[in-house]
Amino acid sequence: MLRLSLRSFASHKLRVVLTTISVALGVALMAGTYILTDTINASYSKLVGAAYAGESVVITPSAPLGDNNSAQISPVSAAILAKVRQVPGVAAADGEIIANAGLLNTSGHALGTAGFTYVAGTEPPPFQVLDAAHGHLPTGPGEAAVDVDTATAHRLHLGEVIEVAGAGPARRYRLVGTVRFAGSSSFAGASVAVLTLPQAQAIAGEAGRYTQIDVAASPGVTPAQLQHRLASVLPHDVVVRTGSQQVAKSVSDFANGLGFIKTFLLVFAYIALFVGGFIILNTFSVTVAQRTRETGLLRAMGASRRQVLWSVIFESGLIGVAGAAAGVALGIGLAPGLDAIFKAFGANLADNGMVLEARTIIVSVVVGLVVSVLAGLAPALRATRIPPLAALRSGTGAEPGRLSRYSLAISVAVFLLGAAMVADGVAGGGGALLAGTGALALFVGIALFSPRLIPGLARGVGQLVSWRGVTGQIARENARRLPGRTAVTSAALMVGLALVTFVSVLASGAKATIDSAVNSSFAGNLIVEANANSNQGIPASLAVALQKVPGVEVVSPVTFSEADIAGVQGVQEVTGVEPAALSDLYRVKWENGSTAEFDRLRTDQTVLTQSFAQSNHLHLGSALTVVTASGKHLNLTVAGIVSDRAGLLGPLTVTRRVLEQEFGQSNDGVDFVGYAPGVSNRAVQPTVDHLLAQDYPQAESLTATQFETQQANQVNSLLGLVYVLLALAVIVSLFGLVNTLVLAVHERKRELGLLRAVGASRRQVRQMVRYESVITSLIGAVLGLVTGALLALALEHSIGGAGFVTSLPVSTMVVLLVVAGLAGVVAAALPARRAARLDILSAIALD
Amino acid sequence: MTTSQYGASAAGAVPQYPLTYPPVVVAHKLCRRYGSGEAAVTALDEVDIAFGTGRFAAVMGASGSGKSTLLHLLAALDRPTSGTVVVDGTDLGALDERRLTRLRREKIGFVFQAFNLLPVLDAEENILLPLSLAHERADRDWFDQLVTTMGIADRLRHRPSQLSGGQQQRVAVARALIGRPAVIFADEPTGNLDSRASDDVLTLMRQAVDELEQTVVMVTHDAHAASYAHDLVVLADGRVAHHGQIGTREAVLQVVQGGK
Repeated sequence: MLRLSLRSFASHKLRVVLTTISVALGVALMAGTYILTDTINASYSKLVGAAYAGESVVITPSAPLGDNNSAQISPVSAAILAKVRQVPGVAAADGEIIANAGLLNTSGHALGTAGFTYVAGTEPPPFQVLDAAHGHLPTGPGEAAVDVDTATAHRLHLGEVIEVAGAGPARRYRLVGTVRFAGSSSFAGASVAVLTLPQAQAIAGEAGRYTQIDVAASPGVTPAQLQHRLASVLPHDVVVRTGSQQVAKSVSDFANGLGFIKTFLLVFAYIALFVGGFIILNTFSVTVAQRTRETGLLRAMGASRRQVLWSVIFESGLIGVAGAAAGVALGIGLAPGLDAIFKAFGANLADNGMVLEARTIIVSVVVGLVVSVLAGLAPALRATRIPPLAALRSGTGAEPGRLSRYSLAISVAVFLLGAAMVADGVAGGGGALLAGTGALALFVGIALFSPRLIPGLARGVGQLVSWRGVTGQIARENARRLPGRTAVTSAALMVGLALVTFVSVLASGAKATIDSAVNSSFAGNLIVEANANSNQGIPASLAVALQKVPGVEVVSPVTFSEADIAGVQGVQEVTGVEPAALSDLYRVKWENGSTAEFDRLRTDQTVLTQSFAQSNHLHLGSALTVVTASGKHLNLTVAGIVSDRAGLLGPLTVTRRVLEQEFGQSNDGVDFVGYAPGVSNRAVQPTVDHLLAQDYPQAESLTATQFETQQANQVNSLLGLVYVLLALAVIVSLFGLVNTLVLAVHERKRELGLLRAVGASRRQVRQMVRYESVITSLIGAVLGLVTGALLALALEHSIGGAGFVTSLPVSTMVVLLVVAGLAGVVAAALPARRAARLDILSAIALD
Repeated sequence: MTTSQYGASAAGAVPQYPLTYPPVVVAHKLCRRYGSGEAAVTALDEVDIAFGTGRFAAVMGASGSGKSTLLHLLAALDRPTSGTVVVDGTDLGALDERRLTRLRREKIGFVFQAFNLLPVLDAEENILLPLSLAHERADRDWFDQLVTTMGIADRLRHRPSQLSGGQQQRVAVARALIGRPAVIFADEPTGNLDSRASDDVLTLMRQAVDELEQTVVMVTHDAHAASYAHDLVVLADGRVAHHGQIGTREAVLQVVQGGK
């Protein structure tokens, strides 16, 4: 039996290749993801290991709310450094600082990738891991060095002036050197400006403070001993770790951060594999049907049902393994491509050397095998139901299975189960995994049901080609004649297009919601916020500077931080505002309390959002205990409850002074600017922009319209990345379409021969195949558009709340339909050529 | 060579049948060889033959005698190794693929043994298929006359799977006739039918020739079927062994059996 499987493999090369590709593409993305993230992690841990070679013990700020909040003022002060130096067993101790900062050239253009630019201070030996590749390290207040990669990428020359912008106005430095980090030409892909320690502290807004103290132990003192001694004398807002603990933490933090990207990519790999499963299912269904006689003969000669079952499963397993092998090979090629995609969309990840772990290969092969065997199971079971009689009589197919009577009930049940899982995953707190699995079940349910829709859909969509006369008619009828097959083929396409539609409907809704929220909430003239040069907010001094611009009447700085609230799960966002200024420029709806009371908000009071108050049963006058980002405990009383459509305010809003003093929040998130009556934007915005360009290159000013455009661009940029990745699933389904058509052409040889004999030209034969392909792909597109749009609308309805504005991206959907139609034409190219090339004589000759 | 089933006379001079009707299909020195070198098989060997307008000709011969090959060459389904075929004044050798397709569509009708109809089209659509492919309108009177003659007027909305074998072949004959082709080629048109359905189809084909003034060339191995024709051609070993007028089944059997 096994030899038979292998034979049939060899005799249907094209079919095998097409099915293998459909597995290989998904596996390739999976393997490529693993290779990419493994490679980045490996290069990072190598770098970190080298960077901490000189440290026995490391002292860093404790992070009561986790490591996400980096904008707080560091508790690691010069006083702590002095204390550390007095501990017996400390041979040397020095502070280092590294913080996010914008790097720019003198014309204001950013150097490096947004969000991945830092400022760092120099350190004396033995902790200095920097060495100059060219020139020297900065020694005076006006000097800076940058990493070799950034200098090369931006063609920076020694002697040139660069700007570094952090917690205060940008400062200018003369470039005196390029540096390597622990021998590496870049710091894991980030761009770093190296300044003298005091300069770096000033830029980071941490004068007299450090992000970390490095300690070397005296001979005979182990890191663990020293860690113990230090921990017992230092305050609780700092953490003491040995060098190796710090390396481990740093590496695992990095891997966790990267884990998001990994999961993100793997989701798309699994989607592509899911679609590949449809292709395998379809191919084997057709193969089993074509081999009915052969299988009947085997059964007549004494093959058991189990042998028939295993021969099909073995064959699908072979496809899976072959696909996985090809996929891993493709993945090796794909990993740098993925890196390039992320770079293109603005995320810079390091890459040097390729890491192919055994896990990558094992997981790929197992997943490829599981997907193809699962997909091959249904056809294999159908093959076992072919009676021996089928060998003698053509037209005797497999006996219907026990479940086939209930196919309608099953498809509806699977659909409802999927819908329930999605609903629970989204609204019931079941999580993304449940929702995702539910969505897949939903697709399977639709695929199971869709054979019932195919005749009608084919007739409807087929009207498009009816102007073509009989060729169009034959194409349409061909698409309808085996509804099950057309259904599975178009369902594969449906999955990809449903997801594309889903995200585009969500994105369109998000953009519309932003527009409407901004229009209804923002009453000011300008929004000043951090631009791509900084991911650390804007300096507090900017609000003061803006207030001095002629024509500006009100400036409302808004600050963001986080807090732990007693009795409430999870870290909550806290917003700091100047109440009176905010009331002038930003509208909220007061559920309890009023603007007048808000303007007098005290430092021991807070305003809650309606949703937070409701879900935690809080009301006016409730008392809250809050743990701030710097570890302080605060008692606050609820002084108001608001509905905030634009979502500026976090669950808690306090005065800005509370965030500054109690939370250690040094930067503002955004400044709203309101003009004096009668002052035009033209009179003010250029002045503001001039101020920003001079002193605050890390910030930009936007009118409400510009802000909306900018938000839309951000959504579009993410959307672009998702489209690129979903394209893979669509491509996989196109291979399925090609495969189905090739199989159909093979089956209909005689019909095609007849057509040619009675006068159909090759062109007409090609047209028929092409139209059938277009009809099938358009059916998939229609199913996908409807499913995707409904899913998105359901999601918006359930989690978007009242403020969510629904918007259907009609033009995108039309484009998708057209693209699907064109894809059908492309997929038909090979099968149509095969059909047209058929020799009339061999096609009509009796077998 | 001379030991063939059709007797020694085949190897000698071919009796030339006096062609009293204008020829519509003429083959001259027609050769078809398959394969090359040692393995080459000559299926047709310098065949000269002509078929008259308004006649029903039967081509007989044992399997391997070249009768199907001859039909395929005459019907522009295959190209000869050498020699010429002229259909209704057109030399097939001078035509490219596109013109051959058009010629098949306009001047030739086909009836095959099986699988004559497209399963996705109903009877009427199948009959009109050659015209639809040419984007031409049907002559409704002619269509009505055909389906009435063929006795399928009440079956026009049926798909092939809903028709009996005999009905399917009658639809196929109507399809072959719809474009008033210069000649209809039929390849064992009754091979898959029982004797009653066979007789129906053959009678109709003869009627088409006699009453509707069509021309039919039919390949068959069945002497009974051949007896419906006006003329009989017998092939043996790739050559024409007999070409003459016939009447009864007995007469046909006599010719085929070489007077045994």
